[in-house]
Amino acid sequence: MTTMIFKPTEACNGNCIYCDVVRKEVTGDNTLSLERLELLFVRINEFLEARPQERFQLIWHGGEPLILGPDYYEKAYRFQETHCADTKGRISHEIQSNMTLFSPKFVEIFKKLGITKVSTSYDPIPNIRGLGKTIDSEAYNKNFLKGIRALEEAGLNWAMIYVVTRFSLEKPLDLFYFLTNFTPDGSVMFNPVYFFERQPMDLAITPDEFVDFLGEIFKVWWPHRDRYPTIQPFYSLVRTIVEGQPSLICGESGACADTHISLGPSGTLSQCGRSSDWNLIKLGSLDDTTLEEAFAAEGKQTLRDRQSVVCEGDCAVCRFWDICHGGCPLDAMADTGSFMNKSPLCVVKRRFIEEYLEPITGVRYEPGEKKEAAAPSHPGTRPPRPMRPYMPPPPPERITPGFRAAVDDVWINPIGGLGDALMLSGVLKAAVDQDPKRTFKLIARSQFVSVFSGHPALTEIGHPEPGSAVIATAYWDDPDFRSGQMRAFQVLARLFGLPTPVEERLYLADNRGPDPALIDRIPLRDKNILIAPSAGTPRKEMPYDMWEELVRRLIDEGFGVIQPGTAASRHIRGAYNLRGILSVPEAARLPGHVDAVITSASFFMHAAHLCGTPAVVLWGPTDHRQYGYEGQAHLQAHRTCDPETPCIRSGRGPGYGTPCPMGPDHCMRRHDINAIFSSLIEILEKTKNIRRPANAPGSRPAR
Amino acid sequence: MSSPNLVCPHNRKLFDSLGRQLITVRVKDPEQAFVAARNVRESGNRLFSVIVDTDHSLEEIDIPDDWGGISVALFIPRMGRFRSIRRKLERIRRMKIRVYLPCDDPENITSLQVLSSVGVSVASRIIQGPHLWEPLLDLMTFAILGPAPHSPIDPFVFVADNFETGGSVDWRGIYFEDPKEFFHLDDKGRVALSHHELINEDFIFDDPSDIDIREENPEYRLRTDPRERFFLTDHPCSRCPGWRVCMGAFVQNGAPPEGCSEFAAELLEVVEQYRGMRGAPMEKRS
Amino acid sequence: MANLLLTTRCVRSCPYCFARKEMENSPEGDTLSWENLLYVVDFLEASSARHISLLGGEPTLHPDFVDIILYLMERRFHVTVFTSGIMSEKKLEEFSEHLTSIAIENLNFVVNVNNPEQTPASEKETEQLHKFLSVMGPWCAAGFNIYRTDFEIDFIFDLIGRFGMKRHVRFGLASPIPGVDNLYISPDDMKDVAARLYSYRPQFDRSRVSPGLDCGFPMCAFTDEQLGWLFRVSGPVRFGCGPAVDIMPDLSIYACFPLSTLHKRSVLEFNTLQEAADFYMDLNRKIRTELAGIFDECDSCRHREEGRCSGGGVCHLMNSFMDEAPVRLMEIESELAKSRLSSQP
Repeated sequence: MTTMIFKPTEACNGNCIYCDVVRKEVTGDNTLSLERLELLFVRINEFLEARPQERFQLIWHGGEPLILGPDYYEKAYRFQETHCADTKGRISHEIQSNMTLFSPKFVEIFKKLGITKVSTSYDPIPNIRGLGKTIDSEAYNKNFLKGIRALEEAGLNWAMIYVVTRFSLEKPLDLFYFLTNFTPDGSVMFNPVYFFERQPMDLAITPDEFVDFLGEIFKVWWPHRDRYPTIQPFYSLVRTIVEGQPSLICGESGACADTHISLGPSGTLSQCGRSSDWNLIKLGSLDDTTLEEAFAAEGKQTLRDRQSVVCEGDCAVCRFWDICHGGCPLDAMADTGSFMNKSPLCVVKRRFIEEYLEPITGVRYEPGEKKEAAAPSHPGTRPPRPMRPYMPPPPPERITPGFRAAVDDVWINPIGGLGDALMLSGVLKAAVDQDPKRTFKLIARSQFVSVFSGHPALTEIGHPEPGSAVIATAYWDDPDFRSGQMRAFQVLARLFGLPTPVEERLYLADNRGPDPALIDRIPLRDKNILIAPSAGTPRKEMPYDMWEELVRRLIDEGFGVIQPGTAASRHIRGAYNLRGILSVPEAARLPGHVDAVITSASFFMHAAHLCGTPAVVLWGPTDHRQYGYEGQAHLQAHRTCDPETPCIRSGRGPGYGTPCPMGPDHCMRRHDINAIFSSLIEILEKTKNIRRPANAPGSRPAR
Repeated sequence: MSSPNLVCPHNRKLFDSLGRQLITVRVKDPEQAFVAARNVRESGNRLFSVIVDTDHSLEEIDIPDDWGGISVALFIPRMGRFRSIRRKLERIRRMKIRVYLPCDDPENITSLQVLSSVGVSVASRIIQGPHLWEPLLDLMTFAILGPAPHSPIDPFVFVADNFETGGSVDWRGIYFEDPKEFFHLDDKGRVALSHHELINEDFIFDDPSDIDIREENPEYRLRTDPRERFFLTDHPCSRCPGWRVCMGAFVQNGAPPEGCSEFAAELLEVVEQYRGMRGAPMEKRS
Repeated sequence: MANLLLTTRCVRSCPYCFARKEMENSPEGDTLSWENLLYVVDFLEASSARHISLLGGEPTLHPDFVDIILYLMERRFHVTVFTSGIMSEKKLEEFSEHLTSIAIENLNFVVNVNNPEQTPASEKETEQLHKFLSVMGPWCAAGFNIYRTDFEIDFIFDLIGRFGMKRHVRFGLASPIPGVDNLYISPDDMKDVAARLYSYRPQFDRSRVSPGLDCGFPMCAFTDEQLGWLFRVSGPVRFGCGPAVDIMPDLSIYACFPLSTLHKRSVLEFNTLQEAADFYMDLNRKIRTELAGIFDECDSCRHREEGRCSGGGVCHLMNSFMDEAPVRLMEIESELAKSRLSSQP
């Protein structure tokens, strides 16, 4: 790419203390005429037509290029459109401005010219950059900010070139942070004030000072280079040295003779912007010199020749030749009076690389080697975990068991709970008592085996062959039961051909009762109550806090309390715990060892009846009239839900195992502890003088 | 220019006078939150949020059911005992509530972490001092890099999610204190640019209608353009390595508090580590 | 699973306590701060651990004990608390008010009970224990530390029945603390301990109580019949040895109580619990390259080689190095020397 430093004017509204242009002796025109402006585009076009692959970068410079006003740029655009119709796609425009004159009036023409970014300068140190003769930096800064704001509001961008003066050296890091905070994307280019004769020495810095200035910043920049990607000269050096991707500016490339040219306001073509400022390496006038001719001019050739001279001379043994090429020839001229020497600023590059860049990055520059830098790492990094928002775990799924029933004869398919099993056992006993020849077989189901083992009505507990006749004991499907006209026991009796009504006596072949060793451990009191809170479905259970209140009352009143049940059932504190350690027959006989039973409508209601022990039974969804035994105290809580909803009224539907949807308004919560206790006392009073016959079913064995 | 958000006291007459504005209403009594929200809506304005700024701890206040339909910023002085707030957590999580706690006490900083770890969105009121930088650094690191899932702790998560290389994040809006967006009115409609200034009757506009032409006000421009405020004056904040994740938010009465620069620099480091771990694109596309 | 100490304070002074050295070395009243609790919980969650054990001293002495439990519940952790059950009325009221609504599956107490005759406690302590069990019984399983071969445990079955405790007893072996003269069961007595335990089989069976063995039991202490019974009632038994990974209130960690002074590190040094466990496992392995197990027979034992038995507790091995010249691996000798336990002059 060919770069032209285009200075259409050297007039400036600013007064920066280090500026060469300000101090330059003006010869010739101060502003490029419109004729020459037009000619420029003619020249560019012919240059590009002769070089079909080439691109042309026009950098508007000065002085202050905005001083020309937007019309000048408008004209440049029209000239480009007219004279570069076929090559304008290979022409790009950039601009360097102090931004104090920028206004919305420039926006449209900038966009037309494809200028999306402005390079500018700023200095927080007072009185370095100023407006007018007195270097009023306060006014300068305000105007600068106004221009920047207008630029940003138009959607355009800007970048910072910072000129390092002696005044900058005091706090390099403060400056670095200021500048990177100030620019829109954190990018900055650091350029030193060159220390040639024409510069006041109280302003200029030495190469070593510049190296150390950069070094202080590099130490901070390197571990944070992702944060400040484009800090120059670091970015270029790292790309070149560490990453092996050469990124050399004009003075380092050794090819500036072939890549750079400049045009001044009087139409003079020169090597570059600096040579133009210093009136060096003139290549002719735009009026009579084509760009091609300018690139072939003697001054350019001298620069080309310089490469081989310096390479074999001053730079013969330097390992940085490939990334320096003897430095800027103008620096060499300014220092030594000849282009054919290396730049005195070579010490900047070499020392910076050797003392800062290589030790800090850990990469040594070897000419011709491609390297990759390690990605910046953060000490103490934990293994990455994706951040995700807080989410509570999903509620557990409820799975409801279902049952099927088959209706046929001969094999009995016992369905339901243990209470139903006890009823069935009683019915079968009545059947076989009536007709000893009436025997049945029972399908083996683990939970019922112990209830039916040794039953006189059963010839076998086992497995029916295919095709066998089976009768299921789902009494709840019977219409008379569903309508409430018949009790469960009676329906079962009718199912087995007994004339109803029958006396409701339960039967259990296994007469042994709980292990005496177990009973002996129980700290029995004068009167003892068995409680049975669990019911196989939460819908029939009184809430546990109510049970605990009841137990506290019983204990306070001097009763001992015993709680059997399954291991999975919840312990009621205060009660003696026999949960999970009794077999079914043991549990069925346990009421025989207590004075009364308080139970939900469950197995222990039946067990209490079996043992002839008084019971207080707590009802809710089911009806005591269909299940409860005469002689027991039945406390019926009325349903709080819609009577039409099935609940568990008609057997075990899908909701059987689930809590009542009425929540706190569950019918079982409507029981009253005082009423329960009173019923207990009443029933104890009723039965205390009644002697139970020794051979009555469920008689309590002697202690 | 974003549409203004007017932070108002609970004053129906004031709401009626404003007409079709975006309003955040401030109440002291939690029970008044829903009523205030309703008044805003019934007056024809749009409700942004309700600030409940109470002197009671989370333990002491009830979370009413009617907060369910409104966004609530709950400013409390402390959390209280966990056992007492535990039963409120489910409700708080379900509703659009963010709990704000001051950071003047190590216990409060711990409380922020506790609440965040159980799913409550929180914000640490870090602008006001005194600043306990060490515990705040721990809180910030937990908020951004903590390995266990937790709810956002702002402003840290806001910064982490919104920061891009070369960009900057102004997080004062979390506290309804960003002068580009929030304007604090008193009962008479006088306008201040922060709650602190409102209390001190340091008004920038005498009438809410001035908000519509705020860009013409030089003082307003100064307050909202950080470059003019901090860079042209060579303020210490302009040289802070953490500037881009702070932008002078900690400055009260003109000066930054001691230690804030190190905190902001560390915040930037942690945010970059987070973004690097997350694989989010770091470069801002120009 | 991780063990977290809430405090080093304790309410008892059990004669066999193998945590005594650690408790004595800790600052008076060292309790876990909320900051450290939060760190540990996040650490565990990041380690995919969902179960935490709370220990002490007496963990319920922590002033925020109830809040900590509720917080752990809120974080969806399963919690086991190792406690004496001895606490003030006020604390018990807090338990009753706040903890009894927690599902039993999520919160367990292992109540370390002592035989009232063999290890007598004051009447007040006994009363406090019973009051605690009357409130929290269903959440509790009994724990019993065996430090004498004639131990008696009838009282445990009584407690289980009276207070609705879980039907499980966790048996621990009092372990030696290298360098400290404490009561412990020596390897020579382990068979007697096994036999004594087995003699309670009828009570275990009748009450359907299952015995659980804590770490350090060697498999060979049990006969085949005893092992068979254990398997039937308790399922597979682990004859393992740590590391438990105990985390102190100040976030220091070590392999287990008896080895608390050796290779103490900090939680902050590890990224996950598994890393910490692997670290101590590696140390254990190194110790066992010196001595495979607590018996000579361990050297050639196929059950140890095949991983079914660890060969007894590492604490016994370290204890046996106590009276030696310093001839072991550097990792072992350097730690012994640091604790001034080595016999090296």
